[in-house]
Amino acid sequence: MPAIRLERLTKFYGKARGVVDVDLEVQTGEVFGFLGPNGAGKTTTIRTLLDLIRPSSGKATVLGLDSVEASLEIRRRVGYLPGELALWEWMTARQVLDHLARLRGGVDEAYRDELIGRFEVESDRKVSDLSTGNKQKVGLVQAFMHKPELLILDEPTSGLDPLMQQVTYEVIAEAQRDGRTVFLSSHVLPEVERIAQRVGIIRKGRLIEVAAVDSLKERAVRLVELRFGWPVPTRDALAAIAGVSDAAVSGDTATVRIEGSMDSLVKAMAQYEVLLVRTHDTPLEEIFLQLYRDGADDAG
Amino acid sequence: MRAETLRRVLRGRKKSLLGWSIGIFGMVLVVLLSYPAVRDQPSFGDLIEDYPEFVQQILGLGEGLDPTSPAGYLNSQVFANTLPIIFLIFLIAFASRETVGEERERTMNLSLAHPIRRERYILETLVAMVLGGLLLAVIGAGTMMAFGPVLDLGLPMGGYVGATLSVFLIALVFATLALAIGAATGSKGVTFGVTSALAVAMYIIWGLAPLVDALRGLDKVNPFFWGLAGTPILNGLQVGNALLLVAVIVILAGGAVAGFRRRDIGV
Repeated sequence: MPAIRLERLTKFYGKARGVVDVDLEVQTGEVFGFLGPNGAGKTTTIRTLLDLIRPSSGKATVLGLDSVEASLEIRRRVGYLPGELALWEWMTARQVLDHLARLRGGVDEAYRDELIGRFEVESDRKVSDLSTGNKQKVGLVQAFMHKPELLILDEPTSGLDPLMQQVTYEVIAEAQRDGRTVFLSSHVLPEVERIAQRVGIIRKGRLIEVAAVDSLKERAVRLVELRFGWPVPTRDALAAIAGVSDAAVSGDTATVRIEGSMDSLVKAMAQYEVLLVRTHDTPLEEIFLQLYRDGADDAG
Repeated sequence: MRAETLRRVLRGRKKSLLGWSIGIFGMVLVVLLSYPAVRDQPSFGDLIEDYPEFVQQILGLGEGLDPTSPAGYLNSQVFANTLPIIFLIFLIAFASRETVGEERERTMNLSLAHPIRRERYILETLVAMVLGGLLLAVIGAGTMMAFGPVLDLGLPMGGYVGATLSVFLIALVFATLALAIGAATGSKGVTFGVTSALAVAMYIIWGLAPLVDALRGLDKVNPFFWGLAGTPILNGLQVGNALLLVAVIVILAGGAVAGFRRRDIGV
């Protein structure tokens, strides 16, 4: 049974597009990254899972339960970190956690205290005195403290310093080791690359790609930097090579973007004096941006 | 399960409740302590008798009370105007804050992601509002019960309680309407606009009804009429009228639940 299953999930706010025809399965026990620029529909999808908003059409199933009909049971078994987290300003961090724990019931107090320690939550300070990052840490503790089967985290590391981002990754990895599922949204790509096994990319409300992080990397477009003796090939000559999608020449250095095999590039360069070849491992960001551009072309 | 949302709402209103409690205590005390001066000044009554009938009605003297008698004085200074207005402002603001305000500040989003039914969330909020208002009612009535005998007003204890409770119920009708509108629309403008316009209109109609035959029929749908009819300050709580107001409140609460249950929560 998948932890999350979306079938042609569609949400419109009046005439405004939320998400359109999203089909997706997140398997139990995996860490799934949901990627997309702001306004793409990530938060809309997530809030549908918790029945905070209702689908215009299509359906969402969470832990095998219908998101509308069995919402109470789902919310009991899920931990949720909202994007743009808001907490009651007049409470202390501890009071917020106590309130939410009582609202929920079944919180593992020892684990909660452990999380408070690891995230260095300033539990006696008022929420109104906490920085964005410190509020976010309270949000993370409340999402994890009852050891839910499924964690739905909307931009979990937003506002956190690198040290606390690291703690977040560890806590997520531990949850996965315990067999729990993590569904997280992000627009910070290296983060997803690092902790997720699969990613879904959403753009303008439509899911345009679902793939394993590894396979996405294999399909990667590489950036190759070449330094030449004399003569330097022209930009047009480089652009004509099979697989090259983009080329630029500056002084004695050329930069090309190449997809798939490098064979044709290497063979074509054999006629020049090549002083240096440097290839850059494509960050997921590049892949993402390319998919984004492709999507834009489709739409255009 | 404990009523955790109710507790949270009341704790959040703690400072506000303290402020309003002090205010209502002070207001009632000043009015009470001023009474001996009014009583000894017959021209006060003559003055009011010269007022138009509309003014006499909204001073709570419509049933022929003498403004210098203890009951007439308290009606004209407290129950027919000041107290309903205080309750209305406090309760409507409360209703709006805990529906529209929680939603706008996005804390409602977090609450409702927890295993609590929307029905329960909105009803606990309503009960918190009722308890908050009752606290003010108890302080208002309590102040009168404590100082009335000291000043020799000679009014029945049941009069203080009944009149305060009646006025509280009038305001609660409008506040529950505000809660229902806030829960159903999430719009502060609509909530305040509709509720306060309706409250002001009903108040004016109640004031004008004795003068304008065409308006008299509207008494039947006017919470001010049902709350203030029968002079509760003299005769105690008019149980039938009070139950009618409670029934309206229950119906509006049902509307709040229905409006809140199926809609999208905003971020």
